[in-house]
Amino acid sequence: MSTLIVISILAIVVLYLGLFKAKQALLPISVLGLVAALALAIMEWNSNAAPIFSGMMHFDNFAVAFSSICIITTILVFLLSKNYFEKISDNVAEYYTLILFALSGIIVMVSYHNLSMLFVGLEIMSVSLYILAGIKRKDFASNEAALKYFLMGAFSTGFLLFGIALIYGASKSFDLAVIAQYVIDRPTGIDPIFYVGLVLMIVGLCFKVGAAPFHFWTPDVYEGAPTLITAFMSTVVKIAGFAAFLRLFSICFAPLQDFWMPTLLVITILTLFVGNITALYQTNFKRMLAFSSISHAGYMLFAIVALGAASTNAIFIYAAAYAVSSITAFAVLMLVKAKTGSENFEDFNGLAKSNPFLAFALTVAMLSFAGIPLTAGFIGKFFVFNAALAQYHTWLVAIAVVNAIIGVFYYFKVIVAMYFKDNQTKQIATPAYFNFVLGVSLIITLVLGIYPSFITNLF
Amino acid sequence: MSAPVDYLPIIMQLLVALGFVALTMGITHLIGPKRKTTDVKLTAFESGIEVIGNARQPFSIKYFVVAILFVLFDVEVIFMYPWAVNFREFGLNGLIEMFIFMGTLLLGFIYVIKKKALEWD
Amino acid sequence: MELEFLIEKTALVLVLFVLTLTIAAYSTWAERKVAAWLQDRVGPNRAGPFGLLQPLADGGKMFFKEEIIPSGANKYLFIAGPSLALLVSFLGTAVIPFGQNIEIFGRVVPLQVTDINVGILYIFGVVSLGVYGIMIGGWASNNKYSLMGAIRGASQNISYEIAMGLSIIALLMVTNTLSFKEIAAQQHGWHWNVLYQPLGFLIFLICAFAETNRVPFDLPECETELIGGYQTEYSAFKMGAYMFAEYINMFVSSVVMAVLYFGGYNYPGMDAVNQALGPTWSPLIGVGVMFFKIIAFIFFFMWVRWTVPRFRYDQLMDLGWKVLIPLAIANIVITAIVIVGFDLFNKL
Repeated sequence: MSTLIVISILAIVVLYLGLFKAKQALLPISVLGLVAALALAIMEWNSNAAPIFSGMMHFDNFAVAFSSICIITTILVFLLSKNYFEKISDNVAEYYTLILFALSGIIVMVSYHNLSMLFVGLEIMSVSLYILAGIKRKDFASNEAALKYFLMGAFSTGFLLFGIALIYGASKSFDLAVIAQYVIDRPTGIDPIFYVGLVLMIVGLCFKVGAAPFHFWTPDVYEGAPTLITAFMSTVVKIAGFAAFLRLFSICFAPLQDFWMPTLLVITILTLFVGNITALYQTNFKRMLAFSSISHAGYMLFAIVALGAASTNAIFIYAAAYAVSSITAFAVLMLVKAKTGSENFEDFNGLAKSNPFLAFALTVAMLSFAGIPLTAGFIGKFFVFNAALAQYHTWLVAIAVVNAIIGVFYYFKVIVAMYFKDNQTKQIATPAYFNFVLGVSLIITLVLGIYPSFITNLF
Repeated sequence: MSAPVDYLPIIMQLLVALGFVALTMGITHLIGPKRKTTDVKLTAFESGIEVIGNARQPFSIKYFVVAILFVLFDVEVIFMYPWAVNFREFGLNGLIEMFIFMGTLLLGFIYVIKKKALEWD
Repeated sequence: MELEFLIEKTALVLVLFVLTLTIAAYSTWAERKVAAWLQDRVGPNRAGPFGLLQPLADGGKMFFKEEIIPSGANKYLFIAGPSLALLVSFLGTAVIPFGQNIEIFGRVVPLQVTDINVGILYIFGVVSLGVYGIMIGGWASNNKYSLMGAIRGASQNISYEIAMGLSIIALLMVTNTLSFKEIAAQQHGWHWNVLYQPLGFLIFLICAFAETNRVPFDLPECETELIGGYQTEYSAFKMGAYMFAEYINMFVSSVVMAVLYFGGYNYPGMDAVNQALGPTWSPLIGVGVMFFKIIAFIFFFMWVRWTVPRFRYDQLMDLGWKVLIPLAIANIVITAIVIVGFDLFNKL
């Protein structure tokens, strides 16, 4: 609760700092503010908060955990942004502000207790992102990304709203608890429009998290947007989307699993194959990351398909692992791009010789993406598959394993390029902030991989 | 309290106005003189000089900025109507809450002015 | 819903309609007479005594003019523009109380077409529709002057609508209702709202000038720069419709200001008059007072037109956004603090 207030005020403060030409203060104040917000969020852990604002929001442990991970990832993104935005445009404060506004929307999204708040949070986040995607005003790809994102986003919001409206029509409430009670009270004879609303909401949410067959906007938007914004979108925003997805389904729709499970199952399998197979054919590293993010959305959908007590934990661990690896990948990509000017796999040639640390960090990130043991990604995949296995979706797990193996191919492409291909490139200068972020991500990835019980029993 | 029937007279007034407009537009069309007109007479008026191009071309972005700002601020103003009607019942607490809302609005307004979004030169 | 109700309302609507038309028509006459008076001329004096038949002659003339639709124009929108402007301008008066309840043949008749509890919102909605007429007509003409006039008109109207809305909010805080009937009744005697909301009235007045596109805010027409602005290409009654709409809007603005800020049909000493004349005749005095106020406002509109020069566009926008809106917000804050302060003080 106080987290949300702090972040909202922080956004306005940063905006005004920009207005009064205090550019040097932007980054420190943003990071400090976020650290404060993080502390306030963690302090609410296990406080057994009741729904606040007439049942609009509920800052339970679920909300605390997911807001914390979103805030931490945002801090990492901010640390990478040193000198990045200045190069793109003069209006630096607006970047920070928009990211912070998006984050405040995300906090609402992970802590809503009322469908109207889900909508409000989603819109605060999306509208900020539409602008962020197109913030390189003179860049054609960025403009295209923004427009595509906006059109698709508006379209999907329409689906979501229709869904919310129909569910409201059946259950006569926006409140999650009331809707859940409505479902429980009627083992048979739920109004048919409730089911239609449920399907529409699945469509809307799948759009937002970029699951196939609603993923078409993802690659272009991720490629066109500024790299740092892509990093933000593919980590924080995706996690928030899944948190909202999971919150809705675990609170409201769990008893109806027989109805929505097949639909979601098809979407999951489709997402996995589309993401992985298309990623295999990419030559552009950023585009590969975009498709890999689709495939990771597939893995996370797994935990929702096999909805159960362990799902929250599984998604949380997977999201954490995925976020830190993504941040590493994007950080290295930014450095490489600044050096070579493009984002293809060849640009990574010989990185192991010129910058061993960068190469090592990226390798660990890729291994984590691929789900190799001793990395956080393995633990994430393990928990997600475990959740599925617990419900006897054995063949589903088999499909997922096949996909994980496909994934190994394209993740190793980068590693091969870095270690086994030669190129006379000079050393890339890594700013201290980057080293810090990479180091932190590396440590988190390895620690979670080796000693996962930190966060495996949170819920 | 208003009942739906209270809105009926508005529809009556609308019908009367609609009838008047349709009637006058019809009459002026029927009794006005009709002449064979040349193409030149039907061109757009540009102070007697030959018409150059089409009028339907892009115009200054400033107008769009004003329109967007209008949408923003007008929505906020609409939020204040229900409050203004009932604000005595809300007392001091309601007042403080509304001042926070208006303060946020004002911050946005100052931002807009500082960013020179409303400069016309 | 009985028959009497329908007859009563139909009669009221028709009377109001004829009244609106008459006032709009004679406003054109009055405008020329006032202009003449202010400039030490005679003004129209040929048609009838004092030129009183001039509006009829003008109106008749319009029907006999050739109807021209430019070849580049969008025909349907070209006709829709003035029609919409005229249509919308008629609707505003529906919620205005022109007097106290009057007793005719033993039946109590409210001198108001209808009393809805969102009267102010209704008027605002209807008035802001007026800009569509200008926009559509100006764009459909396919003339650069028209387009300029239309865009200016639209952005001017929306800019001043914010300040107008904000000034009304301060008024609502005093009245605590959106119904015109109650607002009028609250100002019994001399308790006119203008005494409590002088600043709000001033802002509202300025905005009313801008919303009706009157000098000094007549940039959408602006005959010295834009020929005729959005109505450049119009002829015959379509041009007349725009002109009528403008004068009707002026009438509606005057009515709204008279009711909201100047007590409507209320006047000092009305209780004594009510006692003396009874429920049939005394409301008519109120109606007379109301129309006196309305005509005074219309005269004020004209007076300003022939006195003040036109604003430049940037000045217009600066006045709207940087002066009126902050002033209106300050007015709300002061009003709120004063009222809540008094309430708290009374509780002590």
